Amino acid sequence: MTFYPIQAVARREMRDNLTDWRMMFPILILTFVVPILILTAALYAIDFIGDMGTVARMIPFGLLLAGFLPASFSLITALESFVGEKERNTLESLLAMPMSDSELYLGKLIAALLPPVGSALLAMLTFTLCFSISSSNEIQALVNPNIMWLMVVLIMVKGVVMVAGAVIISSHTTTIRAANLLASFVLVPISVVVQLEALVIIAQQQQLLWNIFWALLAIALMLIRTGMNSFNREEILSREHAGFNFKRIIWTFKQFFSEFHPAGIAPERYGGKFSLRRFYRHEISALLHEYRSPMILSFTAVMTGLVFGIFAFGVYRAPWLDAVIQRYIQRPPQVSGFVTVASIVRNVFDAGFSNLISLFCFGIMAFLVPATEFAKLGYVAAWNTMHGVNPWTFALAYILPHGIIELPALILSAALGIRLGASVLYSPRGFTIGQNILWSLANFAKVFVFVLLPLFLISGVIEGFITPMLANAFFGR
Amino acid sequence: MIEAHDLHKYFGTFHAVRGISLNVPSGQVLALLGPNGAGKTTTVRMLSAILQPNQGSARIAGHDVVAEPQIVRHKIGLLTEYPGLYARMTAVDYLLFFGRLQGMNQHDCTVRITQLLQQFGLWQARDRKLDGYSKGMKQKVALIRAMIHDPDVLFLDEPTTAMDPQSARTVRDAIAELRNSRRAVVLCTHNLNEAEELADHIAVVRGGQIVASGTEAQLTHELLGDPIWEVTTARSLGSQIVDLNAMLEIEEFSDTWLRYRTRRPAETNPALLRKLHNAGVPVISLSEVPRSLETVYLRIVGEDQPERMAGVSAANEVNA
Repeated sequence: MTFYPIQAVARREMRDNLTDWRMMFPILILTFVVPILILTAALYAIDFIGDMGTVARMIPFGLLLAGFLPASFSLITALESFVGEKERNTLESLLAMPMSDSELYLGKLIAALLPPVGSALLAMLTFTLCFSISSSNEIQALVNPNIMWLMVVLIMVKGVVMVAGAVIISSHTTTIRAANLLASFVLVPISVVVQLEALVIIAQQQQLLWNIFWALLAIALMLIRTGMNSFNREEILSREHAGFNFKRIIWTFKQFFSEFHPAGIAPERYGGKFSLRRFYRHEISALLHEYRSPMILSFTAVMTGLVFGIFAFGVYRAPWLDAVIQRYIQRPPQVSGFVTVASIVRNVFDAGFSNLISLFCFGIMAFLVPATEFAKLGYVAAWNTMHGVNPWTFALAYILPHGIIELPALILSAALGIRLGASVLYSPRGFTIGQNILWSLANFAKVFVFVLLPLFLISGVIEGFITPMLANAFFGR
Repeated sequence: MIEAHDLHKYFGTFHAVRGISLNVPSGQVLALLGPNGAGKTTTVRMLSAILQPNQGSARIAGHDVVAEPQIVRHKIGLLTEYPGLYARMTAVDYLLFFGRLQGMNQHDCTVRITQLLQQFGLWQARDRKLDGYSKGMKQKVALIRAMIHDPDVLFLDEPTTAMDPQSARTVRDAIAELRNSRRAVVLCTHNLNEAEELADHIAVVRGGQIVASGTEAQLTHELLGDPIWEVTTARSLGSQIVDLNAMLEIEEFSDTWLRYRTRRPAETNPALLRKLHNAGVPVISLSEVPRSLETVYLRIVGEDQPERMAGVSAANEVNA
């Protein structure tokens, strides 16, 4: 990667935007006028309430708002970065230049990033300067400078998240109108975060604000990575031919469902019909091999959860869990069809719901399910040790009979969910992001129906009918 | 200079390009003709390393379009279907931007911009914003953008669209100059006169395939048959027609004129003149009936089944 093309693309685009008074006028108003209005309103509110304690809450929130408004307005340029050029027919000549996709993307990203971040910084500077000029030392002393700095970094990171998201939208849509409509997927969650931050500022939970910052930073980095991985000039020009085609989506899904090939093989090259025999005999092993990285992550989730559970017992007590363990040991459960049904429903819901949700949260949900399950096991093991119950005996009686099937099934399910969540971040060579998602979904659906569901049924039956017998044999009175 | 073999391109299930092969050496101009949506632009985009072929291979100036896309993009100049200029830039700034992206240094770029703006008559307007330019001026700026780094290969999509006759002449002269300076040029055009004037080789694309290719003369001969000649006389041909029918392949005739086909005019025409002279029929004129590329083109694209045209001339393969 060379720096000049990135710089040239970014400089041209910024110059284009900054010389357009239709863009500059509102940005200048939001940067230099609105912060003063916000400060005036905040000082008036403090004066009106008459409680000096509110200063510590109102001023940081005012600063947050002063930075957020210009940052969110500048999204317009980010949303236009690719799709705007495409609509104005200027993109193809740029795509014909000897620079890599990454260089072009980074140039566009920087051009989209600097105006909102710069205007947000200037707006916050205006707010802070006016605050220091217009208010007394006594009031200023009530504001914690650390929280003011925290507001600055929070706005910066939110700016990066919004712009990175907007540039992804811009590079994946065919019209500016569509990009503007999709922008709500960026603005709505960010607005929710701002409201959440407002509550946290009022509650004066600085550590929680830092946690929000780190989470936003992780999302920003993921979005930048996703954007760089999913951008390629081929995709942009091919999209001229590809509108939203529901039939095509169904067809592609069916192709991926019908047989298994490693990711990256175009759906046109799939030819076979679905065969359950082939799936069990050949494809499942190939699929597990292909999914080795998500399996490792899933196993990491398990181990992390287990260790976390054991350590958590040392510092934190979950009274409801303590009560359940105690009740189970004192009164082992009886054979019950209800337990079977409850176990199956719980597992199906966990595997299905968490994996589908994973698609929208980069696989985090799929990672959390086995981590949580095994954290509970770790906690239970620690509880047993603490209370003189042999944890191995407990595991043998209460967990292993059905767990030997259920837990590996959950690990496999989590791997499928992690892969599904990761499919929006990175597509292997030969796949578009859409194909990658459909490939992951098809594999998830196949494995869910033909592997996980039978395993959950078996483990449910064992949990309802066999586990209670063993539990009674070991712990029954 | 341009070598493409069996290029295919799919957009989902749509098979946009179906096995196009091209070979354009340096110093040659290939005209790609065809109706809208025939696959010309997609072919050019694959050869420009903007799109990747699903099947087949292509090399530009010895570099593979898939393995070395950046080198290929440096070796080519692309005039896109729409000029697509940055409206708020001046011509000089715009060309500097693209010249620098092509790796030229500031000085060389400025010298080249000056030379090209003067050549295309835009020097006086160099500091005006591009949104104030006429359509023809914009097209010229886009062409200069394609030529700025003096590439080995040029892909020109409708280079004279929206130009007045004088500007179009300037551009055609520039293309002819490129050929003379050993550049390989692919010209996508709907202007058949332009293709006739500039192209060394013509390929007609339809339904993603090359359905006919060759020089203009080859295509005309293959599709329209032997040349047609017309003789006009000062007196009625009368009963001479019967005798002439025995020696000529007559197409049409009236009292004082006659049209016939011949593969060997050097032999047939003197014999005809002798015969008419001996019969005492004075000849006013004898000339070949002009047959335009337009007739050839319409014959090709009007064909219902493109496969049937495959026999015309090395179907789907162009050797310019």
